[in-house]
Amino acid sequence: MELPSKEILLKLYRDLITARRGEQRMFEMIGSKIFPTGHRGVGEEVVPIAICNNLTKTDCFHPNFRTAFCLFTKPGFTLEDAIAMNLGKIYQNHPFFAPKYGTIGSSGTLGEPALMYVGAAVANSIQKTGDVTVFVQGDGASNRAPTHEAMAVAAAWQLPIVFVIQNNQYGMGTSVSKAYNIKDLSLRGVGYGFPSEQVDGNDMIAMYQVAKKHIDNVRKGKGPSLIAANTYRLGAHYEGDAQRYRVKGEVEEWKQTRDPLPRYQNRLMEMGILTRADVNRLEKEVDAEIEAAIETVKKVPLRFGSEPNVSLAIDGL
Amino acid sequence: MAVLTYIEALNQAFKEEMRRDERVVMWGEDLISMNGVYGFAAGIHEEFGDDRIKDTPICEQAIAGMAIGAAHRGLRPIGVFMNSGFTLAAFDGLFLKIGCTRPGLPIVMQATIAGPREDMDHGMSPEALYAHSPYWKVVMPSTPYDVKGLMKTAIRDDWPVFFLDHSAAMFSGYSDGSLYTPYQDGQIMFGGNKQEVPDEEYLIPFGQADVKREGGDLTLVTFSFMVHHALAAANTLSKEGIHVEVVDLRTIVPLDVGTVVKSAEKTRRILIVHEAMKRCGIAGEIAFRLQEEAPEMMASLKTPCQRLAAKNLPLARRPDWNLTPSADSIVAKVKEMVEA
Repeated sequence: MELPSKEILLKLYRDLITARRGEQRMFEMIGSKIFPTGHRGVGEEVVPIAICNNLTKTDCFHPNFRTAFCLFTKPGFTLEDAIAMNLGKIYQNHPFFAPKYGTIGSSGTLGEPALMYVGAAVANSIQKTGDVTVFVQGDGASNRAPTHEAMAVAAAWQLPIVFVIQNNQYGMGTSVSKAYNIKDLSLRGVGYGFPSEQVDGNDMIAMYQVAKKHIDNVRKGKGPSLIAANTYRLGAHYEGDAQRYRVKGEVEEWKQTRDPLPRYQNRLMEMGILTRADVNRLEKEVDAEIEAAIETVKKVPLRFGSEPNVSLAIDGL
Repeated sequence: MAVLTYIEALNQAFKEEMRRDERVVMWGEDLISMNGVYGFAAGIHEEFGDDRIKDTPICEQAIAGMAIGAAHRGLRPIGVFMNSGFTLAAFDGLFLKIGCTRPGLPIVMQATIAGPREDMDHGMSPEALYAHSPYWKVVMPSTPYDVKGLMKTAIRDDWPVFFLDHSAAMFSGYSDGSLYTPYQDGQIMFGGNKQEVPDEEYLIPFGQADVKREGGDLTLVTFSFMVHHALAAANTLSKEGIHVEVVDLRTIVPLDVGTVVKSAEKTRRILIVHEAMKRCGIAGEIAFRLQEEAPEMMASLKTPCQRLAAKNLPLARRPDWNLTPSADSIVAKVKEMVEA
């Protein structure tokens, strides 16, 4: 597959360090008090970043709740929006309710949004907008019934949607090996007739290439497809989770050998397009950008509501 | 004026609104392949094509959940559930997602109550479940004239509307059971419940009950197919000199308290009748709304407000068990109240 341009590779790097450092900063500010920071996405950032860098402003996108902070990489949104969500200025259960930019809310019952986003794909298809929908959720939610109905309808109607299983190896405390009888979760797409493949979701370049291929194909009208992006949840399910379900040494091993950030950084250095000096400079720039965004969020009104105005009432009741 | 069956009137409402607004789309099970099973989707695919009406796989959760995304992205979807109990397969989407977080979305969900001749899955009356959510409007027509005007209003409404039709209202104006024969030689019969329906366009606003029969002795508050049982009972009772006023609520949410109060100020007796089970049925809500909004009227009743509803048992495909109210049981209850 064609290697992305140097410009794109560096943009992806900048997005990755912004996501990692931004989410960490949010956590320092508010701890585990507020969703979604309480459910951290550290280690899984590559999946949404690689996808969002292939989307347009009007494409539809649903993030895995854990990596909702990375929504700032979806065209249409900014770092301020992501910070506003994490600081609790937006009702946290439905991050970024902005239908014109392709986010139409989420759900506490994971899996249910698969149907909502298939609905968005129906609208895009009927109205011939050319917009693609990318729906991402975890391995846990992917076992839920609405996911299967969503895929069944997308298959029957050949809708412009890419399903992504962001497999971080755990649905809360239950490991994928206990919840599935398959190792390659992209097999879930095969039964629906989707072009389906698994990819190393901790490898930025591979993830970008696979996302681009699937999104381009769907945009060309080739019908729905599925990506199983294999990654790893470096953090707990929620902060304070004792993680008794973890296999000893597993987290450390992933951290040391497969954490996507040092991995991608080393790769770019090997390719000769990033130096240690660049890293130091970019980290400083990004930190300043995050601090400036935090200050802005404190001062200015929100661009997006959390969801439709739910304070309305029918019938005077 | 043309004489239309309930199904023809419903069919006209869909077609007229789909002609008027190209954002209106329909999906559900067997809408194209079997005209929506009950027949009300006949001719829609021929006229509007693949983009406007779609057969879903057997996926009730999708019928509901997809409407949210589609409406947020510019469509006005109508989701059709073949039968009322099937909506419970999609309860998360219907209750928690649309009903609790999506006001201001132009979604119509239609389901047909197959009634007490069926099991719970096909026949239950789920209005209390959906009326319990903050955002659903709940519509339950009884006649061809009403269904057309109400469905057109539902499709133009910018809020979610739960539209519950009753198969007995579709197939038999008044049924003692023997008329309930929707299928004959494999074909759906368009018989029964015929009514003159204006040729010119009309809409029926939500929250306006209709007095289907006037009378001075008792206000019988009901809706959906029970209206026909009530009218039959009122007919029988009038021969014995008891005059029942039948108020057809037409919409459960919003609820037209005013029309009921006005009627009851005249009759000083109120009986609420519905086909759903009595416990936590909507009659309890209606009675308490009356108590809250018209305490003086309620205090002036000659006999306490009462309700007649299904026994707290599941439907059992056994009409002979009389689990749900009938004209006979309404007659008996009204006599008891009037003679009290």
